Formats: sequence, C-alpha cells, structure tokens
Amino acid sequence: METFLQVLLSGATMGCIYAFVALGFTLTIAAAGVVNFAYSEWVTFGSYFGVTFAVILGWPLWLALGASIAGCIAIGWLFQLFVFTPLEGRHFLTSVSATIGIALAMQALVTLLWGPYPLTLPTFFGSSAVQIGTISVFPHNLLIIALAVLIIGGLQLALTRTSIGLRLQATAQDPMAARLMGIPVRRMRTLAYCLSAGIAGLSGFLVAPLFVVTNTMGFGLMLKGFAATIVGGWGSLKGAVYGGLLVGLIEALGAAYISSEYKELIAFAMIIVVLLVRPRGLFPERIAEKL
Amino acid sequence: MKLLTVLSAAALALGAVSAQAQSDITLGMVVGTTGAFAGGEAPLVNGVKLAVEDVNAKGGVGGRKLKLVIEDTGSEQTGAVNAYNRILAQKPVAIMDTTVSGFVLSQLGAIEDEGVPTFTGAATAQIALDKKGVANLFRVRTSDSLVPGAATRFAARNLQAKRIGVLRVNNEYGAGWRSAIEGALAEMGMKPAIVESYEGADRDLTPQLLRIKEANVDALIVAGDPPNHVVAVQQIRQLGLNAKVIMSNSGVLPTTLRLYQGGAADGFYGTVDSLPAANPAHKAWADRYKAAFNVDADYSAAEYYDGVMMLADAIAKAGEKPADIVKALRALKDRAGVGNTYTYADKGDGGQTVAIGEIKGGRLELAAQVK
Repeated sequence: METFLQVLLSGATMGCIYAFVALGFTLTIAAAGVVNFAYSEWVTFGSYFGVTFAVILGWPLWLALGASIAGCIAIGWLFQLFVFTPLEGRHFLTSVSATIGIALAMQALVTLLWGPYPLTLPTFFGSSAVQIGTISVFPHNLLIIALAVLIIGGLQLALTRTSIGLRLQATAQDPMAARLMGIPVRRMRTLAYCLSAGIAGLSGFLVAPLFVVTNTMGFGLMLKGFAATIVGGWGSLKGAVYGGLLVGLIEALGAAYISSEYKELIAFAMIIVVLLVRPRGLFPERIAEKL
Repeated sequence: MKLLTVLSAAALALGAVSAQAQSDITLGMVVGTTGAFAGGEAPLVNGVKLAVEDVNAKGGVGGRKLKLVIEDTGSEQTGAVNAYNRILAQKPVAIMDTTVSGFVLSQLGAIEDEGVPTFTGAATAQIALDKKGVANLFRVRTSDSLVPGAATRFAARNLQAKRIGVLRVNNEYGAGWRSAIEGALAEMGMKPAIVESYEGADRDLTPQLLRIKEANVDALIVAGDPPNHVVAVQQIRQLGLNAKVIMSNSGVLPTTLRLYQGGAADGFYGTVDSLPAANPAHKAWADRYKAAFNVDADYSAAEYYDGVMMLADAIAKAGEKPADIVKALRALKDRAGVGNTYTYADKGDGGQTVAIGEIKGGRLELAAQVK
C-alpha cells in the first residue's frame, strides 16, 4: 500500500505537469487552430527565465515566478504578431513547419544566451522531503498538484462562466460567426496565445527544480503533452487535463508494477487502446471537426 | 604612380595573409555545440583550445601554428556524420571527434576510408581495435569495458557490498554498463540484486527506486547523463534509500556537482578517469583551466588536451602525412598525460586509469584508484 501511494503521488505530480503542458498546447489549437510545436521552447524559456530572475539576479522566488510568466506572455504576444497572424488562413501544415523551425532556432538561442551547461532552480520549500503518513513527499510536488487544481479549475470557470471566456469559446468554435456577432476575433486569439504562453511560463518555472534546466528539457515534456492532447481529445481543454493525468499515472504505475524497461511501451499501448475504443479521444470537441 | 604603390602594398599584404594561412596547420573538431550534448561536450572544446594555445605559445609544430576549426554535430547522429564530412573538406591534419559513442560508431566508415587521425572520448567498448575500431581512431578515454567493472569491484571490495543493484539509462551506454557490471559480478561469483532502467528524458524515478529499495541493496550503481543523476540523487534522498551510491562519470562532473541541492549528493561516489584538480602534479594546469573558462577542470577536458599534445608530438616526430602520424601514435606506450595514461602500441585502447571520487561538501575528492 505504501508503494502504491508513493507511486500514485509521483504519477499524479507528473500527470499535473503533463496536463499543464497539454492545456497550454491545446489553447492555441482550440482558439485558432494553430498547432504550436514551439510550445516546448516556451516552457524551456519559462525555466530559463526563472533561473535568470531567481538565481542570477537573486530575486525572491514569487517575484521570479511572476516575471517568468510575464516574460513568456511577452514571447506569446511576439509570436502572434510575427508568426501566427501572418500565417492565418494558410494550410495548418504551414504553421506546423514554421513553429518547428522556430523551435530549433529558440533551442540554439538558449545555448547562446545561457550557455551549454545544465542549470537548476531552488524550490519554495527547500530540498527536504516531508513524511505524510507512510509516504515521503517533496512539498514542491504538492504545490504543483495544488496549483494544477486551482489554475485548471479557475480556467474552466473563466471559460464557461465569464463573458470573455464565452467569447473565447465562440471564437474557437466558429470565428466567422463570432466576428458577425461583434466579437473581436483577433483580440481573442491574442488572448489565447498569451494565456497559453503564461501557462508555459508557469509550467517551466514549476518543473525547473524537478527537471534539470537544459536546452532540450521542453521537448520531452511536449511529447507527453502532445500524447495527452490526443488521448484527451484534440482541441479539448478538459481532455488535455484528463489526458495529462492519465499519461502520468499509467507511466508511473506501469513502471512500478509491470516493468520499468517497457514503461513507455506500456503508456503508449494504453493510449492506443483508448484511441481504438474512442478514436476522437476521451472528451472530443466540436472544434476538432474543422481540423 | 600612387595607385600602383597602393595596389602593390595591397598585393603584398594579401600575399602575406595567404602565406600565413598556408603556414597554419588545421586541426578539426567535431562536437555538439548546440543541442542536448552541448553542455557535456563543452569541456572537450575548452581542453582542445587550451592545448592549441599552449602548442602555439611554444612556436607551434615545426614552426607552424595550429588552427582550430570546429563543426557542430547538433547533438544528432546524422549531424555528426555530416559534420565529420564537412571538416574533412577543410583538409585537417587530425580531428578531435565527439565523445558520443553512437555518433562515433556511425562515422566509422568515413574515419577508416579517409585515414585522418581521429581522437575520441567515446567510451564504448565497441571502438576497441579488436572489435569495430580502426587503426587511425584513437581513444582518449578509459574504455567502458573497464570503468563499470572498476565501480563494481569498488562496491564489492571497498564498500563490502553483498547486494549490488543497477539503475541504468535505457540506451547503448546504459546497456554497456549493465553487461560490464554483470560480468564483473560474475567474476566474483555474484549477481546483481536488481536491475532497473529508465528513459533518458525521464524526470521521475520513483517506481524504479521503490523497487530497488524493496530489493534491499547495499550498493547501487547508477549509469546515466547529468540530468538523470540529479533526479536520481534527489529521489534517493526523498525515498530514504540507504544504499551506498556510485554514479557513472557524468554524475560527478564539476558542472553536475553544482546542480545537487543542499548537499544531497554528499557521501555519494562517482567514477572518473582521473581528478586533474586533485593531483598536485596537475594543479597548475587545472588552475589555468579554471582561470580561462571559469569552471573546474574535469578529466574529459584534460584528456582532449592530452590528445592534442600527443598529436603535436607525433607531427613533430613523423611529419604531417596521416599514415606517418598514425604510425607514430600507434607506437605510444604508457604515455602519461594530464587526464590519463595512454597506450596505443600493440592494439592499445587508449586510457587505462579509473578512479573513484567521493562527494564531500559539494566537491569531489579521491576515494580510491581502482585496478
């Protein structure tokens, strides 16, 4: 039982991280139909911003967190200005290719700006583990889970209960109809990009103490986030969250109870099974039809 | 008349520059300066730069200066093959190649066909001359056929461990460590208590470490890359695993040591080919390295430094023809350098030394020299 709870906690932590990434990744798909493969680098920049503000400049961690999110929002805004808006209306493969190219350039830029060596970021609560009953926990992991519940819950409420959230959803479902209803579609899309980038900044900052900060750290995360997006339902925000949790939990439980050697195989085999039963994912959205 | 004077001066200047360029000896280098391996390979570039500086400060080789030209692998296999071919086009006298074993194996055809003396820090046993290695490929490193075995013997003999576990990355490097550890244990009539693996990109090793904890091991050998070691150390502490831990080389590089938070890795061990900074004979070199690159020297930088020095000596002795350089290098036996002691004579496989360091107060101290 002790092992099960310990593995469950680690799986839930990783699942929440994947859910964050999948959520940010899905926001741009849902709002503008853009598959942003540079999202991995947005997360990476979030981590490096955190290291810069907290370690190099010595700012308090909460301030560094805010500044990292702001830095990533600025990146998201620049992206919409120079990448996404000029590519609007083109075939979606065009924007996919563009974002892959930019991702590679951003990865090289990280090495130029911060050097080739791995870096790390301290946590809010130090590096000691605490004992909760029979299991040993890093307080930082609990922070990740708590923030995931708060932010994902808050985002769900904002999207379904506020005027701006409903306008964002309307833009995602039918931009033409939204425009005819007087909704500023361009502004809504900019909001989605900035929101997505802000989540990348938060994700990057939160994973930095658990992951070592390297120029390739975002890629592996985005692969899992992408898998979560597919299993949850393409373009579905709710699906991204559940997909992320599912991938994290399957990975951890598979490694603990079947084989660590075939951990990835087990996780992806489960995903294939889910897709065979529900080809459009667990929570398919109507938005998926337009892609 | 004035115009003629200016043109003549320009022609003379161009001629001088051209003569200068011709007088330089091109030394090629193929490493990852971008991508996942950029951090791990940066010390190699530093070591080579320092060596080129030292050779040139003494007047170069036969009066000609060494000129370093670097091509980036992009930390990818195809990139490594392309970079090797690009550097060949610049007619280098020799090539300081990447340390990534898989990349070197994929370049073997070009290395053999072109015959250019090539130095590598790749540790895989596969590039030994009695396996897939070729005569003009020189290892400036101790082979992985020796290092994991030394770690295993250290665990069994020095640490008196009866139950030894293995946690290894799921790639060729990790597989090599696993089989070498199993071989060393078999020689002592033992078997691993447990073998667990993980993917290089994994950042949660809780399931594996819990299984290792349940296997009740006295010592755990961890093979992987720097980020893997940092995660493993953190989670070993979190889960209260009390075994003695021995990490593979990248776990105790100076740039990895500074990533362990709150003294988490104190008391852990790691394998190294050598500890240049801890050796009084090489302290001046290590200090100079630190002053130049603002980071502590590690064995890999020292070994690439040694590679250039051995090359310079070979050129001075035998000339610049590739076959002559190879012949001169293949005559070396027990050549002591800053980072290792090298033998290439009689199908020698390069470096021979293995040391075990212990992390104390965030720094690595020599714990044992292992045979």
